[in-house]
Amino acid sequence: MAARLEVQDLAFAYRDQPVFEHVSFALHPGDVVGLVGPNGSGKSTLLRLLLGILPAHRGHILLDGTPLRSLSRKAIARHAAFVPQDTAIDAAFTTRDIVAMGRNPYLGRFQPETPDDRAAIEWALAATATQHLTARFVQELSGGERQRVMLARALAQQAPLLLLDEPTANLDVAHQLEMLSQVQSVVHDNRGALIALHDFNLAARFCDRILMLADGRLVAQGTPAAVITEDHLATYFHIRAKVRWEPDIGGLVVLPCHPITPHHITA
Amino acid sequence: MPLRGAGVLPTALILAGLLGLLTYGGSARVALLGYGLLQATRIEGSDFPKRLIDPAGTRQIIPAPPQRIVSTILAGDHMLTALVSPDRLAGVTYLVDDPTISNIIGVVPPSVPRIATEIETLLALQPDLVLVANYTRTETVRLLIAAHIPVVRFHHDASFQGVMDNLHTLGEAVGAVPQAEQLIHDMRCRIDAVVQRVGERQRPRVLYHAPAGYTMGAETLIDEMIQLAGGLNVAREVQLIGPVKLQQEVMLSLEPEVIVVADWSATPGPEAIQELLHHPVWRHVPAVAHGRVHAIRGAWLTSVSQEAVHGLEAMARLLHPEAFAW
Amino acid sequence: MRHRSLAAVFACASLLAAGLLALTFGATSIPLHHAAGILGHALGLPLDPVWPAWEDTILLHVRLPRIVVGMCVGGGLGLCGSTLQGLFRNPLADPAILGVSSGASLGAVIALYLGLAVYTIWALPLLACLGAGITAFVVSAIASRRGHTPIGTLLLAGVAMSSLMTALTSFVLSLALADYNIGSQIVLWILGGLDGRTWDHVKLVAPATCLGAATILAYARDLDVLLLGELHATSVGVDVVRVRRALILTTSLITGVGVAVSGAIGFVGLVIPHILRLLIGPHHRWLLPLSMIVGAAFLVLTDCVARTLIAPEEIRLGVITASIGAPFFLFLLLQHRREGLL
Repeated sequence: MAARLEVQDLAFAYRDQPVFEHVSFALHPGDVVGLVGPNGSGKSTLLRLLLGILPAHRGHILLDGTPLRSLSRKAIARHAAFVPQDTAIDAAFTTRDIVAMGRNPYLGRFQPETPDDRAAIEWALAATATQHLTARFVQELSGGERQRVMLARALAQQAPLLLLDEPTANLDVAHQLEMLSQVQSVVHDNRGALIALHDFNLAARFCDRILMLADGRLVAQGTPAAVITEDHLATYFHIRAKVRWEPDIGGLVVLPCHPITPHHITA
Repeated sequence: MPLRGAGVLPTALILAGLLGLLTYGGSARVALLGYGLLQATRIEGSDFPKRLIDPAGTRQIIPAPPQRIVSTILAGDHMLTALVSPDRLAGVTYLVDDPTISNIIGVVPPSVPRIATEIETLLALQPDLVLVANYTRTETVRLLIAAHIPVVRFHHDASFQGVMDNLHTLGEAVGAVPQAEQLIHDMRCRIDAVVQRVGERQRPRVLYHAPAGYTMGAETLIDEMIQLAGGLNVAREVQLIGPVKLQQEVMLSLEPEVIVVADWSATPGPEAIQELLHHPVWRHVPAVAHGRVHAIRGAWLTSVSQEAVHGLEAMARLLHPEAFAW
Repeated sequence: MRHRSLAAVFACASLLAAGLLALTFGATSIPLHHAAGILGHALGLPLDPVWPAWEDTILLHVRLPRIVVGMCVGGGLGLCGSTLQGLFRNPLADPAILGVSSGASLGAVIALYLGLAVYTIWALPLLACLGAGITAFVVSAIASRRGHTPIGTLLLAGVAMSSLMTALTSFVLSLALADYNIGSQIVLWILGGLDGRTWDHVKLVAPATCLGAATILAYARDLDVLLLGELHATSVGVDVVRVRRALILTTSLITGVGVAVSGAIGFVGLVIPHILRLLIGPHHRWLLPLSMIVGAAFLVLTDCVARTLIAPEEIRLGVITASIGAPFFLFLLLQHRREGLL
């Protein structure tokens, strides 16, 4: 099966400030891939490049085998859906209004909602457990509830690729776990998801593979155990941490201890 | 989210203020004029040196008959050239050479400088008398007075009597009283002649139509012209005073029998009335339907000087052609 | 709950009522049965003309075209206001903010100064549209960078161009003041008004406004999505750059034509959409058409007041809309500040 997402030798710079280069990876159906990196490493930039919001300086991006450059905006939106970090909304829309916007890539100018659209919206609401919020204004929802509404909108797009930028940023612990397991179950067989995360534990728990972006390149990619190592954390994140395999949960546990100041870095 | 009435009160206040200004502002202006705040200069004394009393209260002395007279208003140019010889003129307005508005083309020799009301140019001419109007910039007038230059301020008057008063004042200021008296006498004769010829004939209803829909109500020179020429100014039927912008609707509903427009072209011709004659909205107005739309030379109608009598005579001929056939 | 359908019915009814009211009342009083007869006769009913010809002229050639122009201009202003407020996600945006109105004013004032209106009635509107178009082009050229138009830069460019156009207009006015007649014409025009509008003006403003309105209504869903922000909008497939360009062009056309026909009339585009948004919410497929309808009704009514209140004279329309609009605008500002929404 064709890769959901293929990135070849991608490079980007803001004016004369290079962000990263030589970034290459692939995402296959069923993959949940985590994207980690220190502040300023370009995680958000990478996601914007994958959506076609920013133009790549070098390299290729292929969505389901089709080059990004050749797709129209609506076509891109049918291939990839985005869950943004910032969920502040300044207009009096209800939850259902917001989720319905996810159907925009399928609707013509004056075309009203079809039964297919309604079905997709209902499914998205159910998958994120937000049906009870349908008639409420998003302005009145809590940060966590709003995040789930954004996820519902992305799901309503029925795109095979999901891109998420720090989706757990405003959630409490329970909701963090809930959201990521929702993503996992939705991605399950046919879709793919690329999630930018700050939290190493969550990344290790919920992602099949991890991409580590630092120092202007992709410094590591592979299973969580291969990528999230004490060595990598020291070198690229400048922290001393303990990484342990916990057999009870069948996953990695990361315990940050203290930051390393530059002249303390040793091999 | 209910809209509270807080926005309504300031709106109402502002609208009320506007309304008041609009309703009573015109009358207030007229009242002020009547109370003499904007009257003309008075001259005291029968021989030089004469005292000059400005309406703002300033007193100046004219020591001898002025030899370097500067006029900053076209009306002043018209009056001066009829009263004194050109060698006493040190400056006239640039409008004297404009054929659309001047009645004295070629009268003032090219050696006399043409000016606007720019203060430095005025001072550089070293005038010993300056003619201004009540609408001349107050800063300019004050500077002239501060420079001890006698200033005669004319009220841009709205009647033939006012014109005659201005002529008299100017005659006293420049020491040309006999010439002024003669000019006034001539004016009176010509006006009386018109009134005589018009007699008791039936008065047609006249609309004076200026650009942008303005007309002249009561207490204007044109209103007086219409009266003396044997017509009825329809603007009076809607109680208008002074120059007023009338709505098109109102002008149509007044159904004037004659329409007079000012012709501002250098050589008066039929173009001035074409727009009205062919406008679909004016089609049914009696004046248009019967072809009684006339243009009179703008320079005659609006000159606040002895030239206005030409306008009166022209208007009388238009309104009562049969009275002037012989 | 928002009774949008009710609001729509009320808006349409108010537009109809405004039109009828404006037709019936004016500087001269025309008896009601005459007015009805004139209208009936014009529609083809076999009626004996018992009314004088001047009433017919006033109703059909003075008041009616003025009302239609008022509807087009008011509707256009309301529509452009709601569009720009959605586009810039700022409730204080209005057609003047891109400098387009000022550009149109400059074109018109130049036409007045050069006396071109003497040659053809189309001279002024054409120059005004030219001014509007040039300004819109310059503003978007200044503010665009590699196809991306950041909102802040666009607004600043609009403000800068607006100031420039206003300054040039004042300059032309100062030149024109040497001739009292032209000077007063320009000043009156700058104050805005619908006096003297004929069926020729209707022919100019109606097609452009209807075409522009149809175009903008097609972008109703895009405007909804744009309210969330550029990032959100792009992620659901909205081509933000294209949508913005299309909407700016269309609003410039409608504004230019409106200003060409009636001078600069302010606050309609600012206040009407704002009030409607508070009443019926932000969904543009309701907000856009209702802004048009209510804007049209509002301008027709204010114009009726302008020409009836101190008849036979007239209050300048721009003065009334500002007198009503400005206090409401301040009130809305305070309301927003109190609720921390600005």
